[in-house]
Amino acid sequence: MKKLTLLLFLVSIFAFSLNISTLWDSDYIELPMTGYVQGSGIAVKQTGDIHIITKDGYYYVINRLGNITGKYGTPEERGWKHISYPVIVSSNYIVYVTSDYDGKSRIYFRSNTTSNYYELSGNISRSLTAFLDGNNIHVYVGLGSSTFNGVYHIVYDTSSGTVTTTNDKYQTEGPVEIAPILSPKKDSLFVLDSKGNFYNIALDSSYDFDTTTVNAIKLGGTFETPMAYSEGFIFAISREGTLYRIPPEGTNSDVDFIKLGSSSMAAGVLVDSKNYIFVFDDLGTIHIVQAADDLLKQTSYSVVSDFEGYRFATTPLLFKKSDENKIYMFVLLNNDPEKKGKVVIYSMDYDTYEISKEWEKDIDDTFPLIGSPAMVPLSSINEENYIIAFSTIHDRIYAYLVDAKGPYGFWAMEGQNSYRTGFVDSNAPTFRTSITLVTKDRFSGLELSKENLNDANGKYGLVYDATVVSISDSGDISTYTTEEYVTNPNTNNSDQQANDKIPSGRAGLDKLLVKFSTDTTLTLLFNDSFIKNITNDVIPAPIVDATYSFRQFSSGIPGYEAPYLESKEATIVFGYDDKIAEVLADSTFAILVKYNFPSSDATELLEFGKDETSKTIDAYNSSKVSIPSGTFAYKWKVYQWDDNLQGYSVYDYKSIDKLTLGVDDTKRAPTYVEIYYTDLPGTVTFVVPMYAESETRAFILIDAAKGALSSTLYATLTSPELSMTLSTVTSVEVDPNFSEEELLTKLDENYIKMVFVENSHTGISKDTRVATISLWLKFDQPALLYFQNEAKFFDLFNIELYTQLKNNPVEKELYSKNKFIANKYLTLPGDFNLDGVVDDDDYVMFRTALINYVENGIYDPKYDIGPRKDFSPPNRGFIPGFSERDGKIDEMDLNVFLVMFGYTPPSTDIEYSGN
Amino acid sequence: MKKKIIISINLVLILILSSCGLFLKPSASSNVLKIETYVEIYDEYGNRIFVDGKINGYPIVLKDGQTGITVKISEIKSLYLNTQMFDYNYNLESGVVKISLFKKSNLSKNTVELQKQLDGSIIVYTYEVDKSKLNIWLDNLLEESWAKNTSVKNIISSDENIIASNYLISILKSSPIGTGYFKTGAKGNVRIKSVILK
Repeated sequence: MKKLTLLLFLVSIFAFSLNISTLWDSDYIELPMTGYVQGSGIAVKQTGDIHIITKDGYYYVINRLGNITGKYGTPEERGWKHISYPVIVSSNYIVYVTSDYDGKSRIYFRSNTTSNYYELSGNISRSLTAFLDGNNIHVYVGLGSSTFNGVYHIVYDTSSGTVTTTNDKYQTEGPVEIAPILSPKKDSLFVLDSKGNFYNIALDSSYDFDTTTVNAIKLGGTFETPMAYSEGFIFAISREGTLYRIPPEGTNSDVDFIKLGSSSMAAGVLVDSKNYIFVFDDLGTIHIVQAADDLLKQTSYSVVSDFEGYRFATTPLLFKKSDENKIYMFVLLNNDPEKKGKVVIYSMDYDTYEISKEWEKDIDDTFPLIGSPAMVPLSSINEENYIIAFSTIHDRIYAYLVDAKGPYGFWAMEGQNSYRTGFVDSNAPTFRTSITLVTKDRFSGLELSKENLNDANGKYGLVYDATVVSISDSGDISTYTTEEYVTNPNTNNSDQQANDKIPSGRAGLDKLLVKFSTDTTLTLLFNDSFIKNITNDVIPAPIVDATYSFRQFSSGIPGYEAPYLESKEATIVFGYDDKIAEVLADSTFAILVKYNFPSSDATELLEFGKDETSKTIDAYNSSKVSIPSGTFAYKWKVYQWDDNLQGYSVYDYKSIDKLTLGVDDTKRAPTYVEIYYTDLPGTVTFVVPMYAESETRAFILIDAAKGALSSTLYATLTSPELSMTLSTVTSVEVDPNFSEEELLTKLDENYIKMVFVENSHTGISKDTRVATISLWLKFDQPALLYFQNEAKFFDLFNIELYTQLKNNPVEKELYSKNKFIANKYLTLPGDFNLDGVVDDDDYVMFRTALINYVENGIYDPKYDIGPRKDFSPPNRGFIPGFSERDGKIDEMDLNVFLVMFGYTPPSTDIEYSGN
Repeated sequence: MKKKIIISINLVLILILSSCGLFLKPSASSNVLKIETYVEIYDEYGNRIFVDGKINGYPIVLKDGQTGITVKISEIKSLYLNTQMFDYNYNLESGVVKISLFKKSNLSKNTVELQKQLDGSIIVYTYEVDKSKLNIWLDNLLEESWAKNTSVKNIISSDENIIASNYLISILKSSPIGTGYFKTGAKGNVRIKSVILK
């Protein structure tokens, strides 16, 4: 046990691929006590400097080396009940809000030399939105008071140190407690009041409210938790625990929502670069919802199961490593009764949605709501070396170094996004991402890449027109000049200039307008070489044998919009990661059939239609080619284009009547079929149980054509795929015109050879059923012998008939036609004596078996017929199914027996081939 | 080589011809039928049963556990019962037709007949069946199966088993079945297709 524990410990160490260490020599830096209220919010500059605002009004700066390099301001005696995290708006200024929650609120504009504020009457929102334009700092805050509910736009002139705009406001129905979100283009403000009214308020060129252009959506519910914004959508969680996805330009009916269960007060909603939404509720559960076509909850995880008594203290932080398909959650947990905290890193695997605890640390303090962790790159945004910092209720500042990348996206503004750019660094709006369109055959999933298709003319993918425009621009592609692109771009050229273009745009700010209109036609199989070397010029020239056309975009593409499912025009927003958007294509393929009759041949060109999953070629029924009577198709050769082989696959079949392409071995692909015919000497039909298990009846039927002198059966009953043996031959019924030549008979559990000789030795005068051989077969394992393609039976059974016709040479190769039939009525659960009915004889056998088991403990698996899988009783359309072999003879077997008792199949035709 | 020729020997095969109309489906309007003259049919064992037939040209119906005809009659002008096994006496007393069945005198050995009890379940009559296994194969699936002595304990210890399911009513005894009747709980509009004695 100890060894196992050690092993698990070692495994867990090596499995943990994240390196995290303290930034400074000490675990944390404790700010000096001031004697007033405690609690602080932090912001981190890209220099690694940590800026801290305390509730009593001090402004501290700690540098990357852990030295307190700044302490500004004069403590305010009474302090503030609420203070927001600070927002860095320039290299010199930070802004934040304070409130006494008693009708007095302030917006502070501070630098290391100045401290100004603007006071508002009422309770201000949890935090603010701010940005610098020239000398002006524009601030948007929410407010709730007895006289005014709504949002304010305040402008602070840094050159004069004065507030210049104070009366730009918009009234809402309820108080606004959540910080508004500014649109990426700064032309709209998104506001959600506590009564569930969402407002998209247009801003003019001066960033003032254009109150004539407001889109309002009524959500319902109560809202106090920070929103998130990503790729054109607002995400918000109500106190009732419902997550909403709100399109700011949309209407009530455009809003998606999903009920997650519990309310969420402490932590804001987060969205990652793959459009997964993270909700951290007040019961300590992480909910992870995928935002694609709809909101789909993928997983949830209770941190309480790891840490009893702990709850989320504030909004967590997301980060990732570029070499893993994982997202990490940096979570601060409080145990308020015990005044203890925990820092925990969880990860979620995007492939399995498994959430794992990766790292944890105990903190002898709790975390304030505003102490949410912040993250910046230590040097470059592209290097995976980032600082994470957070604060505790007693103003202890913790900072860690982690080898992972910081968050992208317009996060919930709980501190981690200090620059309000949507990124963790100040220059990120120039960050560009790409959208690669990859087309796949909608049936096979084959990517239409140059490598896969290897078309004779070098064609691949689907051609489309596209243009990149700003996210708020019109989505009508017909109004723009477009460029031509190809899906499945080829980027493997040594000359980079020869690579296909891939559209790129500003992350989160631009969108791609796409329009498909042209089909791609290809010659995959019937090229010059194939026609000449394989078909012997059955057609004169290469043909287009594959056509791919746009069908629809695949579901689950973040930021995808189209007017309807199969629209050839669509919009995709550039995300914070490069995107691959999947397109599904319809495909049609050419099928050329060559009929090689004994004295002539013919060809027929068919189409594998775009909606056909399979295509059946019937050797005896063609709409265009007349099949000579008295012939039989004794051999098939099928050539099918194969992307794997960069050429074609060849399939050989024996004397099947029909071949269905697109199932079993073959695929939907350009195909060349050759069918070889000869005169029909005879047919051997092997009738097998469709549901083969234990001992089951089977039949071999031998038919001879007119003129037959003899029929010889060779039946090998071993099969590499099926463990089957001959149990017994129960009867051989021979036509009076034939006799069995018993001297030549060979019979063992794996092999049957029987020879039937026509009595007159002159040849039978008409087509004749020579013999019906009744067998019992024994199957070691249950097997469903039902195949769409008769050809599959040839893999399982080696049954051959040689028929000697009076006028034929004696050549062993001239085998007769093979036919296979799977008959479901050959398996009757409860028919223990295999006489085709379940009656009193079986009852007596079952009763004996039951006595043997119950009284003597003797188990005979033959009677273990219940419970059964896939079983349907006689009065519900009989399906025999398979016994589950529970190792007992008991009431379950009795029940199956009683249900089956008195049953005899409606079709006594042993050649019955229905389902 | 082992050859097994399956030889079926039908010891007695009594076909109840379909034209007899035994166990005809009740007509669609049976729910609104009202019996005006009750008909009580008793077998020779004292069981009250339903036998398909006509009195004065009016069909005898089975409704809500009662048998009768839908018109009021004051005299019996004609009476016909669909049975191959029984003769019958009848009279009209106080507006009720009473019919007593008794076995025909010229019955062959191994005769079997099905009739219905007043709850619609099947009763099996046998005459001098000299085998211990009786299989009555039916032309249609039974609507309700029924079995006697099918608990694991009984199935092992019982001397008499009756199982009626799907197309078969089967009676097994430890001794020849002989003459008598077997009440079953099986229901269905079925006719005898074949009888096999073993």
